[in-house]
Amino acid sequence: MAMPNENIVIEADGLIKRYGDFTAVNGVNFQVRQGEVFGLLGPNGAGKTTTMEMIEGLRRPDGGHARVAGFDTQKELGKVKEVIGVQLQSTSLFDLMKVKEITRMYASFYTHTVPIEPLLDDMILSEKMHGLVKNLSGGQKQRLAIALALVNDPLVVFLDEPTTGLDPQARRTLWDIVLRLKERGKTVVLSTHYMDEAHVLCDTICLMDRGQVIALDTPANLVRSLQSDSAVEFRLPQLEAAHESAGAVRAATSGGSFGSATSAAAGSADSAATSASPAAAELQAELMQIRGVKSVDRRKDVHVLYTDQLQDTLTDLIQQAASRNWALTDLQTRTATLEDVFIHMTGRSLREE
Amino acid sequence: MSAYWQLTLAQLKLFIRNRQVIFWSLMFPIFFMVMLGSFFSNGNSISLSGQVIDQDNSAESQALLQAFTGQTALELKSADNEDKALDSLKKGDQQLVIIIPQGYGQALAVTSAATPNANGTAAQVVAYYDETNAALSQIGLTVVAQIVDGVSKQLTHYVPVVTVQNQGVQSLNLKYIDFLVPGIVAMMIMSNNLNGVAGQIASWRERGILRRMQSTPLAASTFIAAQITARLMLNGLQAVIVLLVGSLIFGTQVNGSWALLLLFVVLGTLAFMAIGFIIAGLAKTPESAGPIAGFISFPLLFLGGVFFPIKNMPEFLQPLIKLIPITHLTNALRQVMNVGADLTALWPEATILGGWLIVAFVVASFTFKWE
Repeated sequence: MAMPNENIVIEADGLIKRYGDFTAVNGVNFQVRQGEVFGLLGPNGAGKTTTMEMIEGLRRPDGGHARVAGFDTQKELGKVKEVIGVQLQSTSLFDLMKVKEITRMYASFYTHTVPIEPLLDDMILSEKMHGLVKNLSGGQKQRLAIALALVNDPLVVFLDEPTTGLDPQARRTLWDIVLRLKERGKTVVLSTHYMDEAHVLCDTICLMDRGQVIALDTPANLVRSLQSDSAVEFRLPQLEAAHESAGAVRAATSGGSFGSATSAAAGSADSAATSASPAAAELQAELMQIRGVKSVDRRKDVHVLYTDQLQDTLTDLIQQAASRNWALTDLQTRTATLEDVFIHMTGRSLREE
Repeated sequence: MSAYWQLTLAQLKLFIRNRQVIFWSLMFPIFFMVMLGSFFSNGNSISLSGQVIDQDNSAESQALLQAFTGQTALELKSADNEDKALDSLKKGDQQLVIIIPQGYGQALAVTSAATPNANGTAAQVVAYYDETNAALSQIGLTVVAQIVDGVSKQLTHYVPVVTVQNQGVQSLNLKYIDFLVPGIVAMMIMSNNLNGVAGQIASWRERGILRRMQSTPLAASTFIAAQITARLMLNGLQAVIVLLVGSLIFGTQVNGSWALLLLFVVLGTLAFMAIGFIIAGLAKTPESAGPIAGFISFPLLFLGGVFFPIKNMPEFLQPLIKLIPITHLTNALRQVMNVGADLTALWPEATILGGWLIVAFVVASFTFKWE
């Protein structure tokens, strides 16, 4: 079947999936170009896995349709299955089979396959080739799952949260593997809730929340959409301790002795409770007045200023802090990230606190 | 190699590498056989013992005592403490206590002296038995009744006019183990397939193994065909091992054709595997598949004549017993092994098992889910 654009390998067109009254995926549209790493990024429950599984033909959409390499995933599922490789989020494999055996078994399901030993070598599993699956580490099991997804030399590889639950080193190894797949021209669809992972690996990011696409662009463009290239972070423990003890004094007159300097650090831990207080709102308004600040955010006791004029913002902030006696601590500046984009768009963090 | 053979091979490897499964599905029936087999291995007789207490000490009572202790069907010994004897009966150390009461001789003298037509009071012998062990007690009481009857007839100079000559038509010397081994093979086929398939498929589904396969071009029919092939091989092998152990250790007989025996092993495997697939389809979680399978297979074990003859089962259960597949599998295996029956005699069993197989596979194909 001819495609309108020969470069497009996946088309998701208004995909909808409902579970009872709950709509897990609510009208998802996107296109994936050949050879790109396409990231589905969002918190748990955003609908990433359900979207992937509708494209893979594992779930029947309640609305819309998906095409892979021009084949409809419902009407031509057999053809779709031949050209895709799938690593599911929670697959376990037969524990009592050897790595090479299980790879050979999966290879037997396809008409077109790649040689097994070079494939396992590529996934850094050649040493474990004759070992049982149950004796593999978490990272090795995940690499085996990817090897099985590649055994038919697929056009598109689907990796559903491949690094979740892995230690940092195993995560890095996996990133290298994904980047190597990209070098070889494989199209990869990857879901993750790690924004750093999406940033490093993906050419295009589809930011999802509550079953919908909230943004779809390159990582650089997404960050640029914040209109602030930098974030300034700092804490104000003394000021907040003072606010808090003022609140405590208002609440109970006998609480005076707790307002000492030593309790300042402890007080900051639950400063979130005071964020709705008049003093906090006042502070927020004051921070917004600083030069260059586009938006103000707060994560636990850390204040974040987003700015496109870092130098002006820093100068003003320090002057203000000195004149108001804020006792600024833990000051940091960094480039804005995808995490900031997500928070900016949803008001919530990617990771559940 | 094709997907079908790869999957078959994988299933065989999974089985061989899982020592626990090997143990429970192979050693368990063998242990069962060895245990029950040695228990009942001393010939045809069932061990039954008791005591006879002579409280009369007359010539007549001595003669009766002789008659009791002199026979071989029961192991009866003379004793003199009634309380002690009854006590050990209650404890189950013995199954019978017979008491020849005081005045037996005198009563006997009076009755036998009277004319044959006179309605004199017969001399009495008291037999105590343990009614909680009904089967054994019944045999014991029958033997006691026969002995008393014999003595009675002797004393009255009774001459029988009609006699029965007992002769087994099969002219086979069958022991309990010959009855037991086909039952154990049937039990093994049922539990391996019904419980085994239900548990395994439900667990593979839960762990996402089936979903992963579903995302490949593999056809469900290929997957199921490979399952069937691997299990047929395993069951055939297991049945042969159990039969070999039976014949080597206990001298179990296989009087019929091995091919026919194998045919029924195959039929039974397929029928129970299909039922296992249904249970796997119905069970919501792998944890519930086990109990559901157990709930079905455990009663079948007792109703299906695996350990006890079906005719000993209560009347109201008979229609159910006639319906369930295990009954027919057990019966067919037993007929082939014990009596050497051929297919012309066993076509009803083959038909009923075949019926179960077809119905169960149709139902299973509707209830089977990859996820």
